[in-house]
Amino acid sequence: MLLIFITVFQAYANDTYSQNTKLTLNLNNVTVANVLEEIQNNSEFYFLFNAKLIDVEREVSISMEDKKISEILTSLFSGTEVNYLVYDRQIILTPGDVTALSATMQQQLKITGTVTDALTGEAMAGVNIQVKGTTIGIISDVNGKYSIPSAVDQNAILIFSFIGYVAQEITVAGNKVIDVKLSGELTALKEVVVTALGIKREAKSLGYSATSFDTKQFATARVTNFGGGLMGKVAGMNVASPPTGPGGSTKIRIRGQSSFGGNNSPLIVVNGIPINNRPNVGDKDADNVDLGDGLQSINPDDIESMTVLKGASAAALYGFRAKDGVIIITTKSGRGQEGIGVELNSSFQADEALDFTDYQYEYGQGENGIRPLSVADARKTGIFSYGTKFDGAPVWQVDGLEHPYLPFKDRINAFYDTGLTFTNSVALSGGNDKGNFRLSVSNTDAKSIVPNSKFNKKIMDLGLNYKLSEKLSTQINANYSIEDNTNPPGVGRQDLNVGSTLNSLSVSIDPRWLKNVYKDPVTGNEINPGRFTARTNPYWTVNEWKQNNLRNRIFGNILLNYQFTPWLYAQGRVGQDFFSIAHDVNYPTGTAASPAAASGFNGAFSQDAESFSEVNMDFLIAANKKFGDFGIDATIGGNSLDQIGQKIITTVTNFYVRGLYTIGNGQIKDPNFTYYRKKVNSLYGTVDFSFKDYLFLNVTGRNDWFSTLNPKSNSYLYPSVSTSFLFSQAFSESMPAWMNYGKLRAAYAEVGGDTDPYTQSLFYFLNSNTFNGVALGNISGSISPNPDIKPLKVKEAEAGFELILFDRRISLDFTAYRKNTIDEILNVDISNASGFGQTKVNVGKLRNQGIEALLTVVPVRTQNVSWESAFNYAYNDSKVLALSGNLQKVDVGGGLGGGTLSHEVGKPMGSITGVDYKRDAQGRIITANGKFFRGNIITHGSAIPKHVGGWLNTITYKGFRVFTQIDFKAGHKLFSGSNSNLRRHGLQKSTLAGREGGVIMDAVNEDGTPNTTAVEAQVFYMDYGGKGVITGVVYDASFIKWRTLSVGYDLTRFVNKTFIKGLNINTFINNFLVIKKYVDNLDPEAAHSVSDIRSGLEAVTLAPTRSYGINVNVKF
Amino acid sequence: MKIIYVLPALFALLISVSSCDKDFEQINTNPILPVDLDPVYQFSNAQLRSLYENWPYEGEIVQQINTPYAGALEGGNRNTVALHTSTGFDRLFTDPIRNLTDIISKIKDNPEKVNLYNMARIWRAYCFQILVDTYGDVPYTEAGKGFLESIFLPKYDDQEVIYSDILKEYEEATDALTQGKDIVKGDLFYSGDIAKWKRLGNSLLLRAGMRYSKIDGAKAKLIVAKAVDPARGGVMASNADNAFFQFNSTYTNLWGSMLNSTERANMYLGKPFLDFLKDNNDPRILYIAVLYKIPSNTLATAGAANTNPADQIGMPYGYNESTILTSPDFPGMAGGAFKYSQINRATVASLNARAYLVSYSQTQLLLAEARERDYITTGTTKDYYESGIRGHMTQTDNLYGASLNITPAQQDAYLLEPEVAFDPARALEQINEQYWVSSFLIWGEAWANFRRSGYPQLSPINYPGEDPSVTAGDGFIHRLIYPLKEYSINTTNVKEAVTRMGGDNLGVRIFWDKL
Repeated sequence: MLLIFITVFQAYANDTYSQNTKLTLNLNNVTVANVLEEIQNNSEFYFLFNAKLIDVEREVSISMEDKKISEILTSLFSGTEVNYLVYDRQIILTPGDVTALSATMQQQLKITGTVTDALTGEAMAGVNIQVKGTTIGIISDVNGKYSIPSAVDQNAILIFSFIGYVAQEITVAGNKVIDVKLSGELTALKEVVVTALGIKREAKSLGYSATSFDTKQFATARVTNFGGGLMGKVAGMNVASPPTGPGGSTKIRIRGQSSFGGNNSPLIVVNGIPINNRPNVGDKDADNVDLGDGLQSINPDDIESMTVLKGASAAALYGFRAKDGVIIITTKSGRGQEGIGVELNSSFQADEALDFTDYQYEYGQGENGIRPLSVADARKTGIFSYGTKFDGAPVWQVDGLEHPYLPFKDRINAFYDTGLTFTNSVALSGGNDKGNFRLSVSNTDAKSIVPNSKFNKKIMDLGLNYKLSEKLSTQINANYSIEDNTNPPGVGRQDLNVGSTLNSLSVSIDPRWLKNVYKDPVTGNEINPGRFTARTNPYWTVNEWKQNNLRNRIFGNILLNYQFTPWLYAQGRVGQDFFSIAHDVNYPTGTAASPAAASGFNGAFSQDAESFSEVNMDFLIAANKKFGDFGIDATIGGNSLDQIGQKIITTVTNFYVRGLYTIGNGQIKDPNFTYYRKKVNSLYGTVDFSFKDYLFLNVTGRNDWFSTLNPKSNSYLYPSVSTSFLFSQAFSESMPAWMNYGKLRAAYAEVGGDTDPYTQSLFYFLNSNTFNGVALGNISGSISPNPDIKPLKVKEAEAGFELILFDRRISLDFTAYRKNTIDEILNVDISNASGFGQTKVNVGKLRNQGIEALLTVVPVRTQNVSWESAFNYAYNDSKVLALSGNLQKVDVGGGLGGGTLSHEVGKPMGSITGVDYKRDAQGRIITANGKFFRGNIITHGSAIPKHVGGWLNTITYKGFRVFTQIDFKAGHKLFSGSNSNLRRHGLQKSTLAGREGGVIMDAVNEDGTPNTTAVEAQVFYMDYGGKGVITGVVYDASFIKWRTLSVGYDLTRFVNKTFIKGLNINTFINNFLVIKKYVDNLDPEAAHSVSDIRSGLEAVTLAPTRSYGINVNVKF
Repeated sequence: MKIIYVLPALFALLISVSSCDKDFEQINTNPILPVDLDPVYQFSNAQLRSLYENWPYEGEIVQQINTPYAGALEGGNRNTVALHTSTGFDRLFTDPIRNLTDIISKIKDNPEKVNLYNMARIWRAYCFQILVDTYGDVPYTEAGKGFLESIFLPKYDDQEVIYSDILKEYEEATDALTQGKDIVKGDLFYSGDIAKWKRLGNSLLLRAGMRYSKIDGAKAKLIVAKAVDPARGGVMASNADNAFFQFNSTYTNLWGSMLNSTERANMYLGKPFLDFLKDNNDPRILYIAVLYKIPSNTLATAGAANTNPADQIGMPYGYNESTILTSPDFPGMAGGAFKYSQINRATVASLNARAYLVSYSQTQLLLAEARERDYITTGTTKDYYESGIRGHMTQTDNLYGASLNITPAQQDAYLLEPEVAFDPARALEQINEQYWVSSFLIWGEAWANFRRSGYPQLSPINYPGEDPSVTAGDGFIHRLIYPLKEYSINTTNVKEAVTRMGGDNLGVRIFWDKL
């Protein structure tokens, strides 16, 4: 037997934990079981023993101060027959005399085999294999191989166990080779979740909904901003990636929107410290582009785990910023790495522009039924399709040549390129008994589908853990990114937006005709294709419009942890998120839409430098104790947040020297500096109670002090309480066998929020330029300040259950919630006659309620094949219960072409409203001389989807892994600015009506008689623009999409004899297919902004893309 | 063990000691923006910002400018309700009025700022006069007080009552201006010259008084008498008294920038206006009308600019971009644009052209009418009329170089033109026709005077599909409608005003325009 000990020790010489861990125990008159439990609770040790063979009910008293585990165990079992074996964190207790064992050894065999994961087929290292009833034990090697070092009885039973997996007992029955597949255990029982403030808790004890991600899913089917990869994966999480280029932002919303404002994004916490996820979209028209959000700075290869805390209860400890939930990201460390490990990841992706246009192709370019009769005509009418019927006759075109008058249908492919993205990352990790590290570097090179538009990002991530002494340890994480956006495409604007021009270009124009004539060779000015100067020639845009945006960002934190005793520690942490942005953009000289210059050359250039820093300092003191069946776990802490943002921006208009875009060359210089600072101080505490590992209660409290609010009302204390009950454990005796796991949970929480700085008092400003030497001053801003703002509150209750049934073939997680927001701080529209367009007030009451369900089914689980099918679904019903005073409606955002986003009392949030036709009492449209009028503003429905869900299937067959995702959103509306233009410009199919003989609208005259007057088609349809009527271009935005198809193959087994430890190849298609949609000519997900005040207001983006990619992962 | 007792104590300590909101007030004070500003800077800005783009209705209703297009350009060219009806409302309240209200509240009791205070009162009254002239009832007593008194949904006041107060403000504030007190250097019109300001205040009083001529001659007479009273400083006496902004390359002329850029191929001179200039051999036509070879190009590349009066042709009203192609005398296309005359982008619509608000010429013409109506007894109608014309012909002195100046000989010749030469039988018509010309580009005033006087005798455009309220009336727009936002937000108050006025449409008449 001694031999075995030695073997084990030699094989696992880095058994440092047991060597380095010292424990203090002070227990009187308790059972041995209590002592073992105490050790387990205060350390990472765990015990394996057969309770029938070891007497753990024996009463003992033990008093040990700072002793190694071996000393404690020796003392504990001195004078008994019990022997113990320590393998790192695992301690095996065996009964009695070793020699007694040998007597039973008859017909002995040597056994070998391989342990693999039943689901993935991957080899499992470190599996504990024990001969039942003996002290013989061994651990499987890196390749899952094991070999029992001594012969065992052929009737012996081998126990295969591994944390997180169901232990298996296999009778040797004479076999010499025993291969075992271990199935993942009820992860629900053992799973540890990182919750608020980085506190790790067992999932079973959580009284609220927390979802962990399978990080594999977005590491394999990649998107440039990994936020987009979260789409459809979590019940209750609504993700959208507007088609704004590779450097763009992602919109993530959890359980609807908790506020009326634009940004209801969840808090992103990386390694315990919040980071800024503000989308960087231009605040001026001249730079209306999407420059990306905070998630762009994260490399998905660096993520070890990701948890979504959906409700306020989960997030209560994060306070005000967690009102929309929290996404907690923990990055990889070198933990578990022996020696130095290297991991390489390469991926390549091609993006293809998708064409959803379905225009009329009967009438070509021209206006008022006349085709272009000259080149000048062609360049005046290039954005109108009100010509004559196609006949193939030669006609003057925008390129100055004659082409046959025929439809051209392939505008999307004719203009857009194939987007290409290469990502390479390498990670190095290593460790020893004192600590470990991981360093990764990645480079992403993306070329947009728009010519000359590129995005490059480099991300470096470092994680360090080090034990400074027995009790003091430190952890350092740093993430450095350089994000370089060159010529990001313009979206949601009229001019310099290739999508806008491409959209409305006449149906007989091949966009490539514009390529060689975008610039007048004599004047150097733009030649634009129509009399609307704001429809810029797309080749002018891609060749002349220059924009650079470089963000350098570093975020990370330093943590010190002091372990006073095994049950008490204190921790201090300082984290910072800092970035600087250097940005410049021109408005090219000679652009048709550009205002004229009095002298020199027109155009503009603006250059800005921005920096942002957020420093969080926090401390935690945590203690846990177990008293018999009761456990208590308490933490108190505090946080100080300090945010400073500043930006210097100089815009110059008109130039002395043509084509030189510099501040110095500008004639009119307008420098501006903006600054803001806010602080929030907080204190908080949390207490967890547990009873017998099946009943849990968690109570938290947090108090925030906000610098942005009036000192009289700047403090807010909010509580949360949650409870979890594992009825499957509590009544395990009486539970049917198919009930593997059952849990009920309920939670209630409140969180509060503040507002922007400097909104309580009136400020003034002076224009940068004097008027003929006279300084011009003004009241700053159009929002009337309000000194009486108090914190907003979100109150949320949720209840749910989790079930795992039929040997884990079916699992179900269900949550119902209700979330009320009160005293929301909002800029509401007020009468302009007050002098201000808006004021900031605490308004009304808003409710979001709904359900979330995740159903996972495993229809097939065999030796070689497994199929897991997961269906997630969320229903969210929002309602505006009250606004300020007797206000019934607030308008929060406007779209290009007349759509407005409003919140109305009694209706769901985010109503799309707009002008309807003028109608009579019976609802009939009223016309005069055949033409309609502006009528009332009507509500078309909410822009926020009611139903969001996904259906994810993973099939593994031997080394293959196939993943597909279908997702959907439904129950919401979209105002299409594009279609509004397509209708005006005569491209929409609906404009075929009345081409010959005029449009006779189905309407009545003022006196009630039917309208019989025909109106010339173009005059009729152009009227929509002047009258601003949006009826007819508001759509049902529901869709079903086959989002992802990926096929991976694990080649590890072919290479594992070499120095390569792992090799995976994965291919994928993202945005595979639109299965169902209702919006004409567009992708229903088309949106130009992630802001909630632009929800449902489509305003011309790029073409959406389908991506094809391949990803190779190599581990050394 | 003891830690368990220490923790709560520590917690309590933290709460009590750390004073969790220390320095917060200082942190929440914007370090880069002033919390207080010399109100004179606000006054300068309020003056400048009281000018707004008013061609889409005002300039088109008086038939001086035209476009066949709909969409963003639509307005008076089609007599419909389109996007620009609320420009004046939105601009004047949120910019000049809020600053002027703020100034007035800050310095009303400060004897050191008596002149700034009274100039602010005059200019605030001027802004409200435009609002009443455009919309009728508007918020007045509660307006501009969003921050000062937290009045977010101000009530609407009766237009006649507002006008009475405007008259009182013009009069009182003008009288209160005091030589020797504070000099308002930032004044964009006269750098604080009190005598000129008094003449401006009185000219405005005269302008407002004349508004009553149609409904209450006696009242008009009373007000006009006050306005011209030499003891009170009198009205504008020469072009040196004009209130205008001299635009420059940094702050460009609003119409100039529009006509030189986005709308250069879209805006044309109206036929009635151009014909009036042409028919009477008006030398001003050289400043105003032009035919560019390539109108859709920038000025530098627009090719030859033909200013020959005989070649000029104005765009007729009542057509859209399609029907105009078959309108009588359609001149054809110049590239993507029409071959109709446009406003000269190098002169009156140049980027640095002056923009006039109140002129000596207008004042003389008002006096001519006042004399004709016997509201005043000094001078002769003919003299006022002729000096009004000469005043306008010379008000752009030397701006465009000597070659374009209208000489006294040209002025004399014009005054002898058969239709122009003063004819006592047609005095009112002639005076107001000239007021119309003198108010070219001052379109709000041109429109108000057209509604009041009925001159020039324009023909209704009868656009097919025009707003029924226009058709139901005399075929002209008499008022603009309230912003939709008011219905959305300030519903009760706006509805009360609409009830009081008897509707909110283009046909409702302002009180001084009643038949």
